Amino acid sequence: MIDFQLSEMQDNIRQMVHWFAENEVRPMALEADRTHQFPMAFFKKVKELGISNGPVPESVGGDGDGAGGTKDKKGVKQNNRLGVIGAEEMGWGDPACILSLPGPGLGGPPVTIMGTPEQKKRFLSIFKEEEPHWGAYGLTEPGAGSDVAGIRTTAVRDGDHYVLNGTKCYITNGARAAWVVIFATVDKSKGRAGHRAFVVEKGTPGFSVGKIEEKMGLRASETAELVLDNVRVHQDCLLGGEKHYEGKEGFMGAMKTFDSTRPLVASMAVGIARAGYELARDYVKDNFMLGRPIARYHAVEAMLAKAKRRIDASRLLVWRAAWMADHGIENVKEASMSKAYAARSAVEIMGDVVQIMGAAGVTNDQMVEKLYRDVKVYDIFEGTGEVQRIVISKRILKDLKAF
Amino acid sequence: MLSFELGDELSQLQATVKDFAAREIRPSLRATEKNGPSKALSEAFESLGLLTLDWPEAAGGAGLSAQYRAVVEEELAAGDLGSAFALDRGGAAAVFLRTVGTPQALDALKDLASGGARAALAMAEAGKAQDDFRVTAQRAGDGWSLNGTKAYVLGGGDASVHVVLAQVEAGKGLPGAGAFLVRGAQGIRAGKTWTTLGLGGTPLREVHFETVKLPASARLEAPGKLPATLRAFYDALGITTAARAVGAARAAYEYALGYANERQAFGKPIGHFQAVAFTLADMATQVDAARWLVWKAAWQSTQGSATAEVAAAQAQALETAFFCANMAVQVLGGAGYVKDHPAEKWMRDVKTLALYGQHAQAAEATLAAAELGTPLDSADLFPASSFHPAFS
Repeated sequence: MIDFQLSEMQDNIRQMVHWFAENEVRPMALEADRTHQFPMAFFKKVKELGISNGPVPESVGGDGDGAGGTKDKKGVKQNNRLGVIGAEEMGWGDPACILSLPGPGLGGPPVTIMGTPEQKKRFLSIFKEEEPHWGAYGLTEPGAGSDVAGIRTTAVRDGDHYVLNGTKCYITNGARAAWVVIFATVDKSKGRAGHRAFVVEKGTPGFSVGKIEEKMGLRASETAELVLDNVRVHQDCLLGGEKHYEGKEGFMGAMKTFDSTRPLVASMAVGIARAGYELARDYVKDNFMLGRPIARYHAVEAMLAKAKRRIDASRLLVWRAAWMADHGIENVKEASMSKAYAARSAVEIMGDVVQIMGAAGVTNDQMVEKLYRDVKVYDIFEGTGEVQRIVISKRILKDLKAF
Repeated sequence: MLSFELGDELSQLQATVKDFAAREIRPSLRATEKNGPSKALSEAFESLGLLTLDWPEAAGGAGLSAQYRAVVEEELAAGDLGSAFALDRGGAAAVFLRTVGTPQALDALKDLASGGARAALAMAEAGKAQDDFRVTAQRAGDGWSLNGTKAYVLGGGDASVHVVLAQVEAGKGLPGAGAFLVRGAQGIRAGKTWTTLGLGGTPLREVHFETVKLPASARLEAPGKLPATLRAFYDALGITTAARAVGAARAAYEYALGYANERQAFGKPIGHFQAVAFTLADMATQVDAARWLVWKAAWQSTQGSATAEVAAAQAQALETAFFCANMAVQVLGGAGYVKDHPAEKWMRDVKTLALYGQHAQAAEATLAAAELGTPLDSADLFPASSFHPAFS
């Protein structure tokens, strides 16, 4: 039976993360945007509160689902639902902060999904230490974005080692990460079957940071270019070991993570749109034109109502995709729907929010101006809006393999 | 606890109605648009018991929740939106009576359930916008006397039950008006029947009330309570309207999808061109988005007040229905514009839907009011007395 009531535990998580977002993150947000970083003292505090940017399995001393590993009342895992519930609140607090939180980040899922028990222990146990650490995910290259099949970073076997060469770009937390999951090809002629995922640790000779990007938004989030120049990594760093790649698992491993991460990113977009919407809603109550609050003009009402219903619709698409993932139901189409709809809506909503607030919406002492810049990338990363539509198209149309 | 599955009972009902819509409604949609539902279609519909699904047991209904209504209306409209309206003998009047829930209202519903006649809600009036209704209810002995002309009444004039909004106290607008239950035909005369853009299977009429004598009990709500009653009524009707909008959107999407799979151009199906494929992807996504808002509103209505949720669902679903119907015509191209395919009909039908009951602008204004903390029974939120009359 359809039900939209959060469980007590889910609601507690929501409230806890919201408290954190409101009281710890928001006050830092504008300053962090100006200085392009959150201070280390902030990250230590975050660690103490037990908030991270990705789950760490219980087997390596983490708290599993990121919420004590607790299952729902029916005994079904709920890490996807808890993830999206928390992500919305963090997105509401500050979209740059959520990407900067210590933890394995997007590097977590491939290690958890593909990694051997030894690899999970080796790479994930650092996150239970007191010091903040980061993991990162190195897929995108100057010549290959959403088309993962086009990656050109090479991995050449040399005895017990692999030698990696190539350049990765737009890697979130790439410079501060203790390790990065690097996707490379052992044989370009094999296409996706030739892909391998390696965990490359910071400080490995030949592994260096190119530039840190200057961006339109999410300025407090670190976006790095990473250069691999004859980087020798031991075969122990090949995620899952050679056996894992018999067949097409290498590529599928990379794509599988999207089923969890697209709703998560979509949920952050919902949080941003909600933050902007709430600021506009409160603004219109207190600002008057020709003797009545601007809220009472239909043109403004219509923009507010449109924003509100699209935020609510986005959230439901996100929750459905997360619910499906928790229940082990294939959700590739639904995950892309949630991302396509929530991100595009959020960008459009922030446009309306700035419009409603007028000049107050474009000055940089206001959260709204920052959110307007921050939100755009949500329709770009983790698969652009167009890529989401390709994914959906392939699943609704007959015999459509590619355009 | 969050759950995104219908469960066995609702899934079975959904499958039953889907099958009925495909077998009975869809093949005869042009005939229904022209002449109203055939006897066979009406009988098949009545035998499913869908009309009274969510009516109280005391009114001969099954007492099921709004979630059932939402599922059923989507499936019927996915067969054909115009037919979903044409088959609905109860219409907005039945929703109004169910909302009021007084013994005389339930009694009228009970007669409606067992008979074969229609009910109609006479709300809008033609002419210059004003705060008072032109139709008046005047005290006559112990009872009332009803006079005046209503406009844009779906199925009005020859219905066995009319619910009529009329002015009781002059100059007081909606709070000074009342809703009256009129059973039988005495003093009621059908005026002109309009030729309409869409929803052709149900006559849209002008209705004249000429010294219609009513008992004291005909007034359906306490004096001054009409705005509050209307709010509850629009909340209930909105679920039906929004669910139908989702059904219409889905029909258009699925029809366009089927066409895009078959129609070849430049050596491949047109769906294999990105411009068409992305349009279909957006239609699919928006249908799902709207449906979840509708189901959330239906669920919320079982928990308490659902004014904001219904308004959100309705505004979203109406937008989605128009987007999908419009894009279906676009995907079909020339074939979408001619009557060989139903796409053109659905594009006409959905536009009409956006002017039904709490129309699209009223839904948006209501949602904004809920968000801004302004009163939800304020007269300017209701199309009944606004510059922009809706039909009912």
